[in-house]
Amino acid sequence: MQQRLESSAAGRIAISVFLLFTIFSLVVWNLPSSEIKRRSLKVVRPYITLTSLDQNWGVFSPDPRRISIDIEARVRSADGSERTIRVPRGNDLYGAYWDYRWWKWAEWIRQDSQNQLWKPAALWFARRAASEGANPTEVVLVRRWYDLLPPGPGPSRGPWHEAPFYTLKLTPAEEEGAG
Amino acid sequence: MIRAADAWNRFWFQPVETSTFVLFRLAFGVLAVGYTISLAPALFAFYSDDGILPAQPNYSGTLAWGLLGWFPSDAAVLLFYFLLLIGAMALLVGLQTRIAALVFFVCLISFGRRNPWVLNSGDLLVQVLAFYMLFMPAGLAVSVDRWLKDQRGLWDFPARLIWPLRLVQVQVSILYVAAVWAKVRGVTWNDGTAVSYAFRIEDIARFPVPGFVTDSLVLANLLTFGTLAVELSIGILVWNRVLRPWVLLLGVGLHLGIDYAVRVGFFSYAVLVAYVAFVPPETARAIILGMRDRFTRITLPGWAPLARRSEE
Repeated sequence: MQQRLESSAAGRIAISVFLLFTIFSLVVWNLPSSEIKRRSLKVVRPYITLTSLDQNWGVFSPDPRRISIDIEARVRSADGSERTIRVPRGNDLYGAYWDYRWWKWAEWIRQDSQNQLWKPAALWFARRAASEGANPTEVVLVRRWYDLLPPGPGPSRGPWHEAPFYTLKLTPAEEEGAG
Repeated sequence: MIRAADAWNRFWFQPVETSTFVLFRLAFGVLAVGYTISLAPALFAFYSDDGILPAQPNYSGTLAWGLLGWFPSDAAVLLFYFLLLIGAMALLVGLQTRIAALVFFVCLISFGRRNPWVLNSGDLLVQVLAFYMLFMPAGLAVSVDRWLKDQRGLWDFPARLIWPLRLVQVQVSILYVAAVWAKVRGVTWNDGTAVSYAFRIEDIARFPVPGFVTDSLVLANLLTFGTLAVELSIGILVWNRVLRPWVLLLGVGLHLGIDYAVRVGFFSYAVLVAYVAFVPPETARAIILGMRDRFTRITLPGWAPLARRSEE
Protein backbone atom coordinates (compact mmCIF):
# COMPACT_ATOMS: atom_id res chain seq x y z
CA MET A 1 0.00 0.00 0.00
CA GLN A 2 2.81 2.39 0.94
CA GLN A 3 4.52 1.67 -2.37
CA ARG A 4 1.31 2.43 -4.28
CA LEU A 5 0.98 5.70 -2.36
CA GLU A 6 4.59 6.61 -3.10
CA SER A 7 4.23 5.98 -6.81
CA SER A 8 1.38 8.45 -7.40
CA ALA A 9 1.67 12.24 -7.48
CA ALA A 10 -1.21 12.62 -5.03
CA GLY A 11 0.40 10.07 -2.76
CA ARG A 12 3.69 11.94 -2.74
CA ILE A 13 1.88 15.17 -1.93
CA ALA A 14 0.16 13.42 0.98
CA ILE A 15 3.49 12.06 2.23
CA SER A 16 5.06 15.51 1.85
CA VAL A 17 2.31 17.05 3.97
CA PHE A 18 2.88 14.36 6.60
CA LEU A 19 6.65 14.98 6.57
CA LEU A 20 6.30 18.76 6.72
CA PHE A 21 3.87 18.63 9.60
CA THR A 22 5.92 16.03 11.48
CA ILE A 23 9.11 18.08 11.21
CA PHE A 24 7.30 21.29 12.09
CA SER A 25 5.87 19.50 15.14
CA LEU A 26 9.27 18.16 16.21
CA VAL A 27 10.88 21.58 15.89
CA VAL A 28 8.10 23.29 17.85
CA TRP A 29 8.15 20.60 20.56
CA ASN A 30 11.88 21.03 21.03
CA LEU A 31 11.87 24.85 21.12
CA PRO A 32 12.69 26.52 24.43
CA SER A 33 9.71 27.95 26.34
CA SER A 34 8.54 30.97 24.37
CA GLU A 35 5.45 32.66 23.04
CA ILE A 36 5.94 31.14 19.59
CA LYS A 37 6.13 27.67 21.14
CA ARG A 38 3.08 28.27 23.34
CA ARG A 39 0.99 29.32 20.34
CA SER A 40 2.26 26.62 18.02
CA LEU A 41 1.70 23.87 20.59
CA LYS A 42 -2.04 24.38 20.23
CA VAL A 43 -1.72 23.04 16.68
CA VAL A 44 1.04 20.54 17.31
CA ARG A 45 0.30 18.96 20.68
CA PRO A 46 -2.61 16.73 19.60
CA TYR A 47 -0.51 15.21 16.82
CA ILE A 48 2.56 14.75 19.01
CA THR A 49 0.48 13.15 21.76
CA LEU A 50 -1.39 10.87 19.40
CA THR A 51 1.77 9.62 17.72
CA SER A 52 3.75 9.52 20.99
CA LEU A 53 6.48 11.66 19.47
CA ASP A 54 6.66 13.61 22.74
CA GLN A 55 10.33 13.75 23.50
CA ASN A 56 12.74 15.38 25.87
CA TRP A 57 16.44 15.65 25.11
CA GLY A 58 17.26 17.66 28.20
CA VAL A 59 19.54 14.97 29.64
CA PHE A 60 21.62 16.62 32.39
CA SER A 61 20.26 20.02 31.43
CA PRO A 62 20.12 22.85 32.03
CA ASP A 63 22.47 21.40 34.68
CA PRO A 64 23.12 17.91 36.03
CA ARG A 65 21.81 17.33 39.53
CA ARG A 66 24.24 18.55 42.15
CA ILE A 67 23.03 16.06 44.72
CA SER A 68 23.04 12.28 44.97
CA ILE A 69 19.72 10.94 46.15
CA ASP A 70 18.28 7.90 47.84
CA ILE A 71 14.81 6.96 49.01
CA GLU A 72 14.10 4.51 51.74
CA ALA A 73 10.93 3.23 53.38
CA ARG A 74 10.92 2.50 57.09
CA VAL A 75 8.22 -0.05 57.69
CA ARG A 76 6.96 -0.60 61.22
CA SER A 77 5.24 -3.85 62.04
CA ALA A 78 2.55 -4.74 64.55
CA ASP A 79 5.16 -6.32 66.84
CA GLY A 80 7.06 -3.01 67.04
CA SER A 81 9.92 -4.07 64.80
CA GLU A 82 11.11 -1.85 61.96
CA ARG A 83 12.72 -2.71 58.69
CA THR A 84 14.18 -0.49 55.99
CA ILE A 85 13.39 -1.16 52.35
CA ARG A 86 15.33 0.57 49.63
CA VAL A 87 14.71 1.30 45.98
CA PRO A 88 15.64 -1.85 44.00
CA ARG A 89 19.09 -1.83 42.43
CA GLY A 90 20.67 -4.29 40.04
CA ASN A 91 24.32 -4.96 39.34
CA ASP A 92 26.41 -2.57 37.30
CA LEU A 93 26.82 -4.85 34.28
CA TYR A 94 23.28 -5.72 33.22
CA GLY A 95 21.17 -4.70 36.23
CA ALA A 96 21.76 -1.11 35.14
CA TYR A 97 19.46 -1.79 32.17
CA TRP A 98 16.41 -2.37 34.35
CA ASP A 99 17.03 -0.51 37.62
CA TYR A 100 17.45 2.91 36.00
CA ARG A 101 13.67 3.11 35.79
CA TRP A 102 13.46 2.77 39.59
CA TRP A 103 15.91 5.64 40.00
CA LYS A 104 13.96 7.76 37.56
CA TRP A 105 10.92 7.13 39.76
CA ALA A 106 13.01 7.99 42.85
CA GLU A 107 13.89 11.34 41.25
CA TRP A 108 10.19 12.10 40.85
CA ILE A 109 8.89 10.76 44.13
CA ARG A 110 11.25 12.85 46.26
CA GLN A 111 9.68 16.04 44.90
CA ASP A 112 6.89 17.71 46.87
CA SER A 113 5.09 18.46 43.60
CA GLN A 114 4.65 14.71 43.03
CA ASN A 115 2.86 13.94 46.30
CA GLN A 116 0.19 11.96 44.42
CA LEU A 117 2.84 9.23 44.08
CA TRP A 118 3.53 8.94 47.80
CA LYS A 119 0.63 6.83 49.07
CA PRO A 120 0.87 4.21 46.29
CA ALA A 121 4.61 4.07 46.94
CA ALA A 122 4.11 3.57 50.67
CA LEU A 123 1.56 0.84 49.99
CA TRP A 124 3.94 -0.87 47.60
CA PHE A 125 6.74 -0.81 50.20
CA ALA A 126 4.25 -2.22 52.75
CA ARG A 127 3.45 -5.08 50.37
CA ARG A 128 7.17 -5.69 49.90
CA ALA A 129 7.63 -5.88 53.68
CA ALA A 130 4.63 -8.21 53.99
CA SER A 131 6.10 -10.48 51.33
CA GLU A 132 9.18 -10.74 53.55
CA GLY A 133 7.05 -11.89 56.50
CA ALA A 134 6.36 -8.55 58.21
CA ASN A 135 2.96 -7.38 59.39
CA PRO A 136 3.23 -3.69 58.45
CA THR A 137 1.21 -1.03 60.27
CA GLU A 138 3.08 2.12 59.29
CA VAL A 139 5.35 3.21 56.45
CA VAL A 140 7.57 6.28 56.59
CA LEU A 141 9.14 7.46 53.32
CA VAL A 142 12.49 9.14 53.82
CA ARG A 143 14.44 11.18 51.33
CA ARG A 144 18.20 11.00 51.71
CA TRP A 145 20.75 13.04 49.80
CA TYR A 146 24.19 14.54 49.83
CA ASP A 147 25.55 17.56 48.03
CA LEU A 148 28.15 17.19 45.30
CA LEU A 149 30.83 19.81 45.78
CA PRO A 150 32.56 21.56 42.87
CA PRO A 151 35.47 19.66 41.31
CA GLY A 152 38.96 20.65 42.33
CA PRO A 153 40.95 20.48 45.53
CA GLY A 154 39.07 19.57 48.70
CA PRO A 155 36.29 17.10 49.44
CA SER A 156 34.11 16.05 46.52
CA ARG A 157 30.87 15.61 48.49
CA GLY A 158 29.07 16.63 51.65
CA PRO A 159 27.56 14.39 54.34
CA TRP A 160 24.33 12.43 53.95
CA HIS A 161 21.16 14.25 55.01
CA GLU A 162 17.78 12.69 55.54
CA ALA A 163 14.22 13.89 56.02
CA PRO A 164 11.02 11.87 56.36
CA PHE A 165 8.46 13.24 53.92
CA TYR A 166 5.44 10.99 54.13
CA THR A 167 3.90 8.72 56.75
CA LEU A 168 1.17 6.23 56.03
CA LYS A 169 -0.61 4.54 58.91
CA LEU A 170 -2.20 1.53 57.34
CA THR A 171 -5.93 1.03 57.86
CA PRO A 172 -7.08 -2.52 58.66
CA ALA A 173 -8.15 -2.90 55.02
CA GLU A 174 -4.77 -1.71 53.78
CA GLU A 175 -2.99 -3.98 56.25
CA GLU A 176 -4.98 -6.88 54.85
CA GLY A 177 -4.18 -5.80 51.31
CA ALA A 178 -0.51 -5.56 52.13
CA GLY A 179 -0.54 -9.00 53.65
CA MET B 1 9.99 27.15 -7.03
CA ILE B 2 10.65 24.26 -9.39
CA ARG B 3 14.21 23.98 -8.09
CA ALA B 4 12.92 23.83 -4.53
CA ALA B 5 10.46 21.12 -5.51
CA ASP B 6 13.26 19.19 -7.20
CA ALA B 7 15.46 19.50 -4.14
CA TRP B 8 12.56 18.34 -1.93
CA ASN B 9 11.98 15.33 -4.17
CA ARG B 10 15.67 14.48 -4.27
CA PHE B 11 15.96 14.67 -0.51
CA TRP B 12 12.84 12.71 0.45
CA PHE B 13 11.86 10.62 -2.55
CA GLN B 14 15.13 9.31 -3.91
CA PRO B 15 14.98 5.53 -4.43
CA VAL B 16 17.68 3.62 -2.54
CA GLU B 17 18.28 -0.07 -2.11
CA THR B 18 16.70 -1.29 1.11
CA SER B 19 19.90 -2.51 2.78
CA THR B 20 19.94 0.44 5.20
CA PHE B 21 16.31 -0.21 6.11
CA VAL B 22 17.18 -3.85 6.77
CA LEU B 23 20.23 -2.96 8.86
CA PHE B 24 18.09 -0.51 10.81
CA ARG B 25 15.50 -3.24 11.40
CA LEU B 26 18.13 -5.69 12.62
CA ALA B 27 19.67 -3.12 14.98
CA PHE B 28 16.30 -1.92 16.22
CA GLY B 29 15.14 -5.54 16.58
CA VAL B 30 18.06 -6.36 18.89
CA LEU B 31 17.35 -3.18 20.85
CA ALA B 32 13.63 -3.98 21.04
CA VAL B 33 14.21 -7.51 22.34
CA GLY B 34 16.71 -6.29 24.95
CA TYR B 35 14.41 -3.45 25.96
CA THR B 36 11.46 -5.80 26.37
CA ILE B 37 13.47 -8.23 28.49
CA SER B 38 14.56 -5.32 30.71
CA LEU B 39 10.92 -4.60 31.57
CA ALA B 40 10.39 -8.06 33.07
CA PRO B 41 11.95 -7.65 36.56
CA ALA B 42 9.59 -4.81 37.52
CA LEU B 43 6.66 -5.58 35.23
CA PHE B 44 4.00 -5.81 37.92
CA ALA B 45 5.67 -3.31 40.27
CA PHE B 46 5.42 -0.65 37.55
CA TYR B 47 2.27 -1.55 35.67
CA SER B 48 -0.18 -3.51 37.83
CA ASP B 49 -2.89 -2.17 40.13
CA ASP B 50 -0.81 -3.37 43.10
CA GLY B 51 2.29 -1.56 41.91
CA ILE B 52 3.75 1.87 42.55
CA LEU B 53 1.05 3.51 40.41
CA PRO B 54 -2.36 1.86 40.88
CA ALA B 55 -3.96 3.34 37.76
CA GLN B 56 -2.99 4.97 34.50
CA PRO B 57 -2.80 8.79 34.80
CA ASN B 58 -5.86 10.66 33.64
CA TYR B 59 -5.27 11.72 30.04
CA SER B 60 -8.81 12.95 29.40
CA GLY B 61 -8.92 15.98 27.14
CA THR B 62 -5.79 14.83 25.31
CA LEU B 63 -5.22 12.35 22.51
CA ALA B 64 -2.91 10.22 24.62
CA TRP B 65 -3.87 6.57 24.48
CA GLY B 66 -2.77 3.35 26.13
CA LEU B 67 -4.27 -0.11 26.11
CA LEU B 68 -3.46 -0.68 29.78
CA GLY B 69 -5.74 2.23 30.68
CA TRP B 70 -8.59 0.49 28.91
CA PHE B 71 -7.75 -3.00 30.20
CA PRO B 72 -6.40 -2.52 33.70
CA SER B 73 -5.62 -6.01 34.99
CA ASP B 74 -2.62 -8.19 35.70
CA ALA B 75 -3.74 -10.51 32.91
CA ALA B 76 -3.67 -7.59 30.45
CA VAL B 77 -0.20 -6.57 31.66
CA LEU B 78 1.03 -10.09 31.02
CA LEU B 79 -0.76 -10.33 27.65
CA PHE B 80 0.61 -7.03 26.36
CA TYR B 81 4.06 -7.91 27.64
CA PHE B 82 4.07 -11.13 25.64
CA LEU B 83 2.73 -9.28 22.60
CA LEU B 84 5.54 -6.76 23.02
CA LEU B 85 8.08 -9.56 23.18
CA ILE B 86 6.59 -11.35 20.18
CA GLY B 87 6.50 -8.08 18.25
CA ALA B 88 10.16 -7.39 19.07
CA MET B 89 11.31 -10.88 18.07
CA ALA B 90 9.21 -10.86 14.90
CA LEU B 91 10.73 -7.49 13.97
CA LEU B 92 14.21 -8.89 14.48
CA VAL B 93 13.68 -11.86 12.19
CA GLY B 94 11.40 -9.98 9.79
CA LEU B 95 8.27 -12.07 10.28
CA GLN B 96 5.16 -10.14 9.23
CA THR B 97 7.40 -7.13 9.64
CA ARG B 98 4.79 -4.39 9.24
CA ILE B 99 2.38 -6.03 11.68
CA ALA B 100 5.23 -6.77 14.09
CA ALA B 101 6.27 -3.10 14.03
CA LEU B 102 2.68 -2.04 14.73
CA VAL B 103 2.21 -4.54 17.58
CA PHE B 104 5.51 -3.51 19.15
CA PHE B 105 4.67 0.20 18.84
CA VAL B 106 1.16 -0.11 20.29
CA CYS B 107 2.29 -2.24 23.25
CA LEU B 108 5.37 -0.11 23.90
CA ILE B 109 3.36 3.12 24.00
CA SER B 110 0.77 1.41 26.21
CA PHE B 111 3.40 0.58 28.82
CA GLY B 112 4.87 4.06 28.55
CA ARG B 113 1.51 5.76 29.05
CA ARG B 114 0.60 3.45 31.92
CA ASN B 115 3.51 4.68 34.03
CA PRO B 116 5.37 7.70 32.64
CA TRP B 117 7.28 8.22 35.92
CA VAL B 118 9.72 5.45 35.09
CA LEU B 119 10.71 6.71 31.64
CA ASN B 120 13.96 8.46 30.79
CA SER B 121 15.03 10.04 27.51
CA GLY B 122 16.22 6.65 26.25
CA ASP B 123 12.77 5.14 26.73
CA LEU B 124 11.28 8.06 24.83
CA LEU B 125 13.79 7.60 22.01
CA VAL B 126 12.89 3.91 21.71
CA GLN B 127 9.23 4.99 21.42
CA VAL B 128 10.07 7.57 18.77
CA LEU B 129 12.13 5.08 16.75
CA ALA B 130 9.30 2.54 17.03
CA PHE B 131 7.01 5.14 15.42
CA TYR B 132 9.42 5.68 12.50
CA MET B 133 9.82 1.90 12.18
CA LEU B 134 6.13 1.75 11.16
CA PHE B 135 6.97 3.38 7.83
CA MET B 136 10.06 1.39 6.94
CA PRO B 137 10.03 -1.20 4.18
CA ALA B 138 12.45 -3.18 6.31
CA GLY B 139 11.17 -6.70 5.75
CA LEU B 140 11.90 -6.82 2.03
CA ALA B 141 15.20 -8.68 2.48
CA VAL B 142 17.02 -10.81 5.04
CA SER B 143 13.69 -11.64 6.62
CA VAL B 144 11.36 -14.55 7.12
CA ASP B 145 8.85 -12.62 5.02
CA ARG B 146 11.23 -12.60 2.05
CA TRP B 147 12.33 -16.19 2.62
CA LEU B 148 8.72 -17.37 2.53
CA LYS B 149 8.05 -15.43 -0.66
CA ASP B 150 11.29 -15.92 -2.58
CA GLN B 151 14.19 -17.84 -1.04
CA ARG B 152 16.58 -16.91 -3.83
CA GLY B 153 15.96 -13.20 -3.25
CA LEU B 154 16.65 -13.36 0.48
CA TRP B 155 19.86 -11.33 0.14
CA ASP B 156 18.66 -8.96 -2.60
CA PHE B 157 17.71 -5.45 -1.60
CA PRO B 158 15.03 -3.94 -3.84
CA ALA B 159 14.91 -0.16 -4.14
CA ARG B 160 12.44 1.93 -2.14
CA LEU B 161 12.04 5.64 -1.39
CA ILE B 162 14.35 6.98 1.28
CA TRP B 163 11.92 9.19 3.22
CA PRO B 164 11.45 7.02 6.36
CA LEU B 165 15.22 7.00 6.85
CA ARG B 166 15.34 10.75 6.30
CA LEU B 167 12.81 11.18 9.11
CA VAL B 168 15.17 9.38 11.50
CA GLN B 169 18.09 11.47 10.23
CA VAL B 170 16.21 14.71 10.86
CA GLN B 171 15.22 13.41 14.28
CA VAL B 172 18.88 12.78 15.16
CA SER B 173 19.80 16.29 14.11
CA ILE B 174 16.96 17.83 16.13
CA LEU B 175 17.89 15.69 19.14
CA TYR B 176 21.42 17.08 19.33
CA VAL B 177 20.58 20.69 18.56
CA ALA B 178 17.84 20.59 21.22
CA ALA B 179 20.20 18.93 23.70
CA VAL B 180 22.86 21.61 23.22
CA TRP B 181 20.28 24.40 23.38
CA ALA B 182 18.97 23.02 26.68
CA LYS B 183 22.48 22.67 28.13
CA VAL B 184 23.89 26.08 27.27
CA ARG B 185 21.21 27.70 29.42
CA GLY B 186 22.74 26.02 32.47
CA VAL B 187 25.52 27.20 34.76
CA THR B 188 27.72 24.11 34.90
CA TRP B 189 27.78 23.59 31.13
CA ASN B 190 29.11 27.13 30.88
CA ASP B 191 31.67 26.94 33.66
CA GLY B 192 32.88 23.56 32.41
CA THR B 193 32.04 21.43 35.45
CA ALA B 194 28.84 19.66 34.28
CA VAL B 195 30.43 16.32 33.37
CA SER B 196 32.24 16.12 36.71
CA TYR B 197 28.88 16.44 38.51
CA ALA B 198 27.14 14.01 36.15
CA PHE B 199 29.80 11.36 36.76
CA ARG B 200 29.55 11.73 40.55
CA ILE B 201 25.78 11.30 40.98
CA GLU B 202 25.94 8.10 42.99
CA ASP B 203 22.37 6.88 42.40
CA ILE B 204 22.82 6.81 38.63
CA ALA B 205 26.52 5.93 38.55
CA ARG B 206 27.49 2.73 36.77
CA PHE B 207 31.12 1.70 36.38
CA PRO B 208 33.66 3.75 38.34
CA VAL B 209 35.24 6.84 36.83
CA PRO B 210 38.71 7.53 38.28
CA GLY B 211 38.84 10.35 40.81
CA PHE B 212 41.50 12.20 38.85
CA VAL B 213 39.00 12.61 36.01
CA THR B 214 36.13 13.97 38.12
CA ASP B 215 38.29 16.00 40.52
CA SER B 216 40.46 17.72 37.93
CA LEU B 217 39.01 21.03 36.83
CA VAL B 218 40.95 20.93 33.58
CA LEU B 219 39.69 17.46 32.66
CA ALA B 220 36.16 18.40 33.75
CA ASN B 221 36.34 21.45 31.46
CA LEU B 222 37.64 19.39 28.54
CA LEU B 223 34.95 16.75 28.94
CA THR B 224 32.16 19.29 29.41
CA PHE B 225 33.08 21.55 26.50
CA GLY B 226 34.00 18.48 24.44
CA THR B 227 30.51 17.03 24.99
CA LEU B 228 28.91 20.27 23.82
CA ALA B 229 31.22 20.43 20.80
CA VAL B 230 30.51 16.82 19.79
CA GLU B 231 26.75 17.20 20.22
CA LEU B 232 26.62 20.43 18.24
CA SER B 233 28.86 18.93 15.55
CA ILE B 234 26.58 15.94 15.12
CA GLY B 235 23.46 18.12 15.04
CA ILE B 236 24.83 20.26 12.21
CA LEU B 237 27.79 18.60 10.48
CA VAL B 238 26.06 15.25 10.08
CA TRP B 239 24.53 16.77 6.94
CA ASN B 240 27.98 17.15 5.41
CA ARG B 241 28.80 14.01 3.46
CA VAL B 242 32.57 14.19 4.15
CA LEU B 243 32.36 14.99 7.85
CA ARG B 244 29.39 12.68 8.60
CA PRO B 245 31.34 9.51 9.41
CA TRP B 246 33.74 11.41 11.65
CA VAL B 247 31.12 13.24 13.70
CA LEU B 248 29.11 10.05 14.06
CA LEU B 249 32.26 8.24 15.19
CA LEU B 250 32.72 10.92 17.84
CA GLY B 251 29.08 10.36 18.80
CA VAL B 252 29.68 6.62 19.18
CA GLY B 253 32.57 7.37 21.54
CA LEU B 254 30.49 9.87 23.49
CA HIS B 255 27.57 7.50 23.96
CA LEU B 256 29.66 4.46 24.84
CA GLY B 257 31.40 6.65 27.44
CA ILE B 258 28.04 7.72 28.86
CA ASP B 259 26.84 4.10 28.89
CA TYR B 260 29.98 3.08 30.79
CA ALA B 261 29.73 5.74 33.46
CA VAL B 262 26.02 6.48 33.90
CA ARG B 263 22.86 4.40 34.35
CA VAL B 264 21.07 5.83 31.33
CA GLY B 265 19.40 2.57 30.39
CA PHE B 266 18.89 2.25 26.66
CA PHE B 267 19.59 5.85 25.73
CA SER B 268 23.05 5.28 24.28
CA TYR B 269 22.04 2.19 22.31
CA ALA B 270 18.88 3.82 20.99
CA VAL B 271 20.98 6.73 19.71
CA LEU B 272 23.42 4.33 18.06
CA VAL B 273 20.50 2.54 16.38
CA ALA B 274 19.30 5.91 15.08
CA TYR B 275 22.78 6.49 13.59
CA VAL B 276 22.18 3.45 11.35
CA ALA B 277 19.85 5.65 9.28
CA PHE B 278 22.98 7.46 8.05
CA VAL B 279 24.77 4.32 6.82
CA PRO B 280 25.01 4.45 2.99
CA PRO B 281 23.13 1.57 1.30
CA GLU B 282 26.30 0.05 -0.18
CA THR B 283 27.97 0.02 3.25
CA ALA B 284 24.83 -1.46 4.84
CA ARG B 285 24.79 -4.19 2.18
CA ALA B 286 28.48 -4.96 2.81
CA ILE B 287 27.85 -5.17 6.58
CA ILE B 288 24.84 -7.48 6.18
CA LEU B 289 26.53 -9.76 3.65
CA GLY B 290 29.68 -9.78 5.79
CA MET B 291 27.59 -10.94 8.78
CA ARG B 292 26.00 -13.61 6.59
CA ASP B 293 29.38 -14.90 5.45
CA ARG B 294 30.72 -14.98 8.99
CA PHE B 295 27.60 -16.78 10.20
CA THR B 296 27.78 -19.43 7.51
CA ARG B 297 31.40 -20.21 8.47
CA ILE B 298 30.34 -21.10 12.03
CA THR B 299 30.97 -24.76 12.84
CA LEU B 300 28.94 -26.34 15.62
CA PRO B 301 30.51 -29.34 17.40
CA GLY B 302 29.66 -32.50 15.46
CA TRP B 303 28.12 -30.50 12.62
CA ALA B 304 29.41 -29.57 9.22
CA PRO B 305 29.95 -25.83 8.69
CA LEU B 306 26.62 -24.12 8.11
CA ALA B 307 27.77 -22.96 4.69
CA ARG B 308 28.46 -26.53 3.52
CA ARG B 309 25.17 -27.73 4.96
CA SER B 310 23.26 -25.12 3.06
CA GLU B 311 25.06 -26.15 -0.14
CA GLU B 312 24.18 -29.85 0.35
